Amino acid sequence: MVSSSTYISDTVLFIRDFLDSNITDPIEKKRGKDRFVKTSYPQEKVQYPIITVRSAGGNDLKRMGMQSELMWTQIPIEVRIWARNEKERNELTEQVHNALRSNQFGGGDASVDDNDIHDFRVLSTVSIDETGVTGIKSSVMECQYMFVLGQS
Amino acid sequence: MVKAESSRGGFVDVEVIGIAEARRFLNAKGKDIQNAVEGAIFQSANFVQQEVQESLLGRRAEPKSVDTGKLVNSIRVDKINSDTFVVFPQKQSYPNGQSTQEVAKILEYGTTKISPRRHFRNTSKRTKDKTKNFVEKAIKRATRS
Repeated sequence: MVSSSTYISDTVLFIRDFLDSNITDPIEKKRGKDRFVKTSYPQEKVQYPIITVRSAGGNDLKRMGMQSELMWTQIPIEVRIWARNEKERNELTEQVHNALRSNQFGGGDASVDDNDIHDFRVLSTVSIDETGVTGIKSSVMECQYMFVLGQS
Repeated sequence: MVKAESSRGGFVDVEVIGIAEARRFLNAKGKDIQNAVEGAIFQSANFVQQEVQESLLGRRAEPKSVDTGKLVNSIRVDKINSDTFVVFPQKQSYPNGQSTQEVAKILEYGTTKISPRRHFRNTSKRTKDKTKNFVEKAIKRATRS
C-alpha cells in the first residue's frame, strides 16, 4: 500500500517488486546475487540485461477542494531497460508495457488500484543506442500514476 | 426565457440575458483571439528554445553540455500547426558520424557511461507556468481591445 508520507519511494518499490516477479530474466540462472530490477542506475559492473525503476521527479500538488487538505499529484516513474542487443531490448520493453498495462485493476495486492495509485499512462518510450558492437541498447519509458495525498 | 417546474409545484422562471450580445462579441473577437493565441504559442516556443539553449550552456540547474557548440546552435522551433510548435535539435553531423539528435538523446537520458542531463524535460517543467501566462495575457489583451 502506498502511503502519503512515503508515496514516491513506495511507488518506486512497488513497481520494482512487481516487475521483478513478472518479467522473465533472460539470464536468471547466471545472475547470482545481482538484482535484475534495480532502483538506481548501476554504479558498478553489472550483468546485462537489467531494468531500472526510478522516480522521474517533478511532482505538482493540486488541491482537491476548498477546506480540504487532500491533494492529488502525478507520480512520474522512469522504467529503463538496459539490454545486450536490440532484440532483447524490444522483447523486454514489450513485456514491461504489457505487465504494467494489465495490473491496473482488481488483482489484489499486485494491482495498482489496490495500492491506491491510479490512472496509469505511458508518456514516452525512447530508445538509446550506445555505439560499438558491445554497446548497450536501452529503452527509457516514462510513465505516470496519480495519487491522492492525505487519504492513507 | 426558460420555464421549469419547481419541486414545490410552482414555476421558476429563469431568464438568461446577454446571450445574443455574447454571441456577437465572440463572433467579432473570435479571429482576434485565435491570432493572439497563435502568436503567444509561438512566443512561448521561442522562449522554450532559448531556455533549452541556456540549459545546454550550463546557465540553469543542469551541467554544461557544450563542446563544439554544434548542438546548442542546432536548437530550432518548427511550426506543426496553428497551435503546435516543436523545439528540437536540427539534424547536423559531427565528424565521427553521430548526429546532433543522437547526441541530444544521449545527453537527455544518459548511457552506461554518462549520467542523464535532462535539458529538455527540465526546461519543459520550468517554463510551464510562464508559457501559460503568455497565452492568458494574449487572450486578455485580445478580448479587452
